[in-house]
Amino acid sequence: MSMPFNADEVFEMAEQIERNGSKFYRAAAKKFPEVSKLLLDLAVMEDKHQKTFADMRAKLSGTEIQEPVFDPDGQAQMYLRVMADGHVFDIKADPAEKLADKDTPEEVLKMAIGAERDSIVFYAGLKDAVSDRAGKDKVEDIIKEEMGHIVILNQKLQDLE
Amino acid sequence: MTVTFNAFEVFEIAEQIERNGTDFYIRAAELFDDPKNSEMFLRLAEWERQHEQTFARMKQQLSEKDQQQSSPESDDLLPDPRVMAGLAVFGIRSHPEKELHGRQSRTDILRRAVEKEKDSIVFYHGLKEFVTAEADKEKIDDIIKEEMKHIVILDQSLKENE
Repeated sequence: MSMPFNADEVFEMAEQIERNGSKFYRAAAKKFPEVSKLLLDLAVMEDKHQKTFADMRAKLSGTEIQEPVFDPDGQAQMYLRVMADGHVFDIKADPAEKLADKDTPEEVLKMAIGAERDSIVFYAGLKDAVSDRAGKDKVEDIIKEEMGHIVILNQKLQDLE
Repeated sequence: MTVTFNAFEVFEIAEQIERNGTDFYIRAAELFDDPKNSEMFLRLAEWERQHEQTFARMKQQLSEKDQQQSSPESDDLLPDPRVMAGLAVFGIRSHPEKELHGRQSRTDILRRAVEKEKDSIVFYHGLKEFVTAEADKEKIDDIIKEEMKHIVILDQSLKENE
């Protein structure tokens, strides 16, 4: 039986996703100058999200850090476990490395849309796993912002196609 | 040019996502010859059918409200209809019959199912912006939670089939 995740570990995963996101956007901007402005803007937004998660993590009280997240039916833990084991969500993979086989801005925008989608799917679970006090609302705000990124990326994709 | 949607149309897409989900899982159940996996897919199909009914009821309520009011509430509900236009990319992809042609491996089918569940989670998060009543937001949140549960079930099956 796996150890349940605590809030500190869950926020650490969220920070990793945002770090991956920034790294991906900066590497993609370098490779595709024609869409670099948009990609660099998105990198800055992901930096801010990472800082938000880091702040939320820093504000966790001693009890919150150590105790498993509130999860009476165990569903949130099971979902988090699925995300952490890298089977259907690849949080640990370095997205910048996946750029190697992308040859056009269209391909990279589609990849970015997929990565944004996966982060929303993760944060949907994260939101259920953190208490109101630890910042459930902030997670919801970040989900909305990631949805906004998909809109921007999709718009750019339509312009290019 | 960006095509925008109103709340009514957005619920229609949600219904279609669930109809496609039901068809996908019924087809997947036919393609798996072991009872355990077939039963799992049929259970998931039934879940999606119930979601479709929930969305149909919410759409019906929306249309009844519109008829009672001089200005359609659905227009007031829209924070930015372009948001849903952007997210519609996760709405309807291809029809399950074209998607599942019987030549995929078991793991391909299961992975495809996970991707569909992820798409629906993102779409329904956008859908929440189109409703104002807290009770409706909660209903959509419940459906999102159930789709998350489906990912857990599918992941378990993936591990067993790999």
